[in-house]
Amino acid sequence: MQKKLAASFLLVTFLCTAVAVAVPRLQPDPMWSAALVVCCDLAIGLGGAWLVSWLVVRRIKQLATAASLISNGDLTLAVDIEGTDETADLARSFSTMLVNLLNVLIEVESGAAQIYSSALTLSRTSEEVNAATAGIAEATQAIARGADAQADDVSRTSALTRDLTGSADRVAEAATTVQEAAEEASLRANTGAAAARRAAEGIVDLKNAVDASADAVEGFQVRAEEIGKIVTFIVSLAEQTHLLAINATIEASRAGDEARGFAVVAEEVRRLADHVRGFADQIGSVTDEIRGGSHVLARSIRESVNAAGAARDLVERAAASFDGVLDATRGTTDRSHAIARSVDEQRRLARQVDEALERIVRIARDNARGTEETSTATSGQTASMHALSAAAHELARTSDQMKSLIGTFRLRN
Amino acid sequence: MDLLYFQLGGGAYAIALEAIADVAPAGPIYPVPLSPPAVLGLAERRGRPIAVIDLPSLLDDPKATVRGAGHLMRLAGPLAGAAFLVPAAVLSGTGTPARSGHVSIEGRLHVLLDAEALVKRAAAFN
Repeated sequence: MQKKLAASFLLVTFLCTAVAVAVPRLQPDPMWSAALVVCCDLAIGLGGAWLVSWLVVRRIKQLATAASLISNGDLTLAVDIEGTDETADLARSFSTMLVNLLNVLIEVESGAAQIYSSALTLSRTSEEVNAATAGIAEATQAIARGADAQADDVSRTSALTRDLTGSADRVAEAATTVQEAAEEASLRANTGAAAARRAAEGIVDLKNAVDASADAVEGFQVRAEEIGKIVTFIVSLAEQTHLLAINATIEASRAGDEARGFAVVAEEVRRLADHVRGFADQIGSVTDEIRGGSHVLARSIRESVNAAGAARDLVERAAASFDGVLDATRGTTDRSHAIARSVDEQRRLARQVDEALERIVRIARDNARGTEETSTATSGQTASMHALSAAAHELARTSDQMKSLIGTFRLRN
Repeated sequence: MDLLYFQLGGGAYAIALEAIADVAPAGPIYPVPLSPPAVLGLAERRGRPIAVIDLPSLLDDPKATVRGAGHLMRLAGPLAGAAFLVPAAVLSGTGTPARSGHVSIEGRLHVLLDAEALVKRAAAFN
């Protein structure tokens, strides 16, 4: 440009000089010549000035136009960069700046789109995370409640286990009592069996004695029957004597006073016969009573014999029952021992279960506390995710605004 | 007076000792057709037949009956062919006359039987 300006100035100076030399030769009048020289030089000066300004302003106008277009957002124009002067350098710098700006804006546009997409994704993700976190919070609270309920249930189970342990202790005591009772029963059954055998032997002796008594009573009955027959005979004799006495009395009365003494004797005989009859009747009554009593006694003895036989059978069955009781008590003793061993094992296992349940309770309580802490942390996370979601919305909005702003630029044809 | 006495039914009866020939256990009695109802039949006494008169049917006591074999009380004198059937428990004793038709034996009243009147009543009884 400087060269162009120097050339232009030299050209204007040459032309002015040429005019100043040539005109006085052509126009003699100095006045006119001077006037023509001034006019010609003025015209040459103006023309040189226009040329200089055209040379300077032409490229700047182009750049101003480009700048105006750029200011309107059109970055697609091409700047003429030919030339070697300063304006060309300016145009090249302008073009380079334009290209760099275009690249930056394209990059920014792409980045804004990505930011917008990422912000939307982030927003959706954060909302999903929020929903998931809410679910986690509810689940955590449910877990906490469940852990509390579990702890309570386990506590109750532990109490039941302790009750079970107490019951096992009582069962053990009962088993011990049963064992002692079984041993006592065994001892008594032994004694009872021996006593029953002795009783059976005694009953056999008793039966033999009763049999002998029955024989004696039957013999006594036979004797009583004989006595009864004798008494009947005595009664018959007394009745006959009584009749003889009465008839003697009749005969004596018929014989008159001389037979009065005979009548008295006959009367005495009759009285004697009546007494004999009375005694015989008494003997007969007593004999009947004895006979009836001995009959009852014989029947009783026979019943006693039968009862003794039945008693002997019963006692033998009782002895057999005692043997069965002995076997049963031996079985009961064995089973009591087994129950005692089982109860000891059950008590040991119940204690282990109780300890395990206590550990479970502690773990459940710890779980409940941890779950509550998790719930608290989840609540904090939920708040953070809400803030993140809001930030993502804001970022999306900002990136959208950025896209709008970048959209004001024309980056492509 | 000497008497023979006995219990029959609900009453106590006595008869004079002199009206009786003897007293003996009643043996078999054989019914006699067409005889009066008070005559039970014929019995044998020392080889002679005697007419047995049912004394209870001649007394005014419906409860009067002879239980068991009883005794035959054979009458004496003209009535020796007849005998009363009386209970076996016949006693002898002494009594004193009491009010009409009764005697007192050992302080107790007995109806005094008239043997002849009873035989006539039996014969007339239809």
